[in-house]
Amino acid sequence: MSKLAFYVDTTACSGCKACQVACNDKNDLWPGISWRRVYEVEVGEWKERDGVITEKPAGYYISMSCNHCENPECLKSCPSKALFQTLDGLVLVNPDLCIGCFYCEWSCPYGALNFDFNTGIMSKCDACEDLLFIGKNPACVDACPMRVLKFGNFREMANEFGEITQIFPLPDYSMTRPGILLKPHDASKGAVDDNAGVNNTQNYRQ
Amino acid sequence: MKNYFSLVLFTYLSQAAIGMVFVREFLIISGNISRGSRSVLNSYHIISLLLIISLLAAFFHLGRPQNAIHAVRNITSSPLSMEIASMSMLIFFALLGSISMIYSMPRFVTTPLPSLMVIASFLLLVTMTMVYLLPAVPAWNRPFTPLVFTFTALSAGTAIMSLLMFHHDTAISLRLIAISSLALLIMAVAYITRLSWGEPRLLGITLIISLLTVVALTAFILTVRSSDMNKSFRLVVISAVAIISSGLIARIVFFLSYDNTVL
Repeated sequence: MSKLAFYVDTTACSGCKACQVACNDKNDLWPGISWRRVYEVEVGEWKERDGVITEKPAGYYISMSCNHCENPECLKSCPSKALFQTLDGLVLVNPDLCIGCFYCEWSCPYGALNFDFNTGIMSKCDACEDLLFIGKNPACVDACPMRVLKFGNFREMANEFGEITQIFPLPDYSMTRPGILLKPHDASKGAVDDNAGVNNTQNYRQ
Repeated sequence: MKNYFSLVLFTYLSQAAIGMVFVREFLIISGNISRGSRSVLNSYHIISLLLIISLLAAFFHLGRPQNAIHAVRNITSSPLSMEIASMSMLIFFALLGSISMIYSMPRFVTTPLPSLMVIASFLLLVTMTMVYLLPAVPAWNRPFTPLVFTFTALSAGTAIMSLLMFHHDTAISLRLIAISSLALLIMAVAYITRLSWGEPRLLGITLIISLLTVVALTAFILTVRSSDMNKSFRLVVISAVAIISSGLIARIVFFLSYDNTVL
């Protein structure tokens, strides 16, 4: 099975959310549902010396959707086998089987699954399967004005861009083996729970 | 998180039913009550009722209940599928038990029922715990979850059994409410310990749990001292209500602590 992946250049992302808007538009997503999200990561610390406080703030953005993991937790936890993996490694939802129990949403460490209140089932990024079929890129990739996103074969892109699969605050790669490659922002080096955090997770919590 | 009230109801009531099964069978095996006593008969009906209410809560929690028939398709890898299968087994045995208390049934049906109910209850408690031990939800993926689920079953099960048994066997009923209050006290300590170093925003609610625990223990102590049966019963009811209310509030705190902390 050839593994597909998104490449995200976090050094170039300006956080404009054009990818998110393009995704919502292409997939007719209702307000409150975001298959692609742009996380604002803040890093920094301050020190007090002789009554003077010095600070070193920094920040970067991570555009994130379903990473179509090789070992997806959502798929293992889905009680009705509504989630399935295609031969290309895409993780998709079968709406005829989904019971809308939210369990996949809990299981996914990337928060990639969204409950659709209109249909009563879970919804998620399908990597614009219809566009891929006719040889085009996913909508988010082509919408990015900074050319931050790319989509393609994991191995080929890893050879071209390097195989960095985890930066703060993403979970350990071994958990689900996600289809994601990253160019890390300088500020992400040394970012840990104590000195960094995601500023806008609440925007995406349903 | 959406619809967590139905999950509060589902998990709490089914754990109360599990606790009742364990307590009842323990009391029977230890010779404290006979299998034919009124309390045992009533307990079958109450367990069935609790399980049916929790099943309905779980059913209407689903976004698409009409697809619920598919919920056990992934029984080999999904803890949720396993939980639903265990729940179905327990409801089946509990209803069979209830019916056997009203209509006579062959011995080959009634004899293994208590053992089957204990096995199904144990499986349900284990699978229900597994459902919440998710690596993606660090707030739940810790020993706190099995501890709280076990002690909820113990405190709620003993509290309800105590109410059922008060008029038939007051001494055992009082012992049960004491065990229930102590189980609740351990739970309250667990919540305070965890929340004080993890989630101070929920500390206010946790203090309410502690207050209700104090009410439950005070009511129990007053019950032991009281010589008036009617007053004692009222105090046992107060104690049981405090135990169940704090258990429910504690479960709300548990679901509110859901935090997909990574993203």
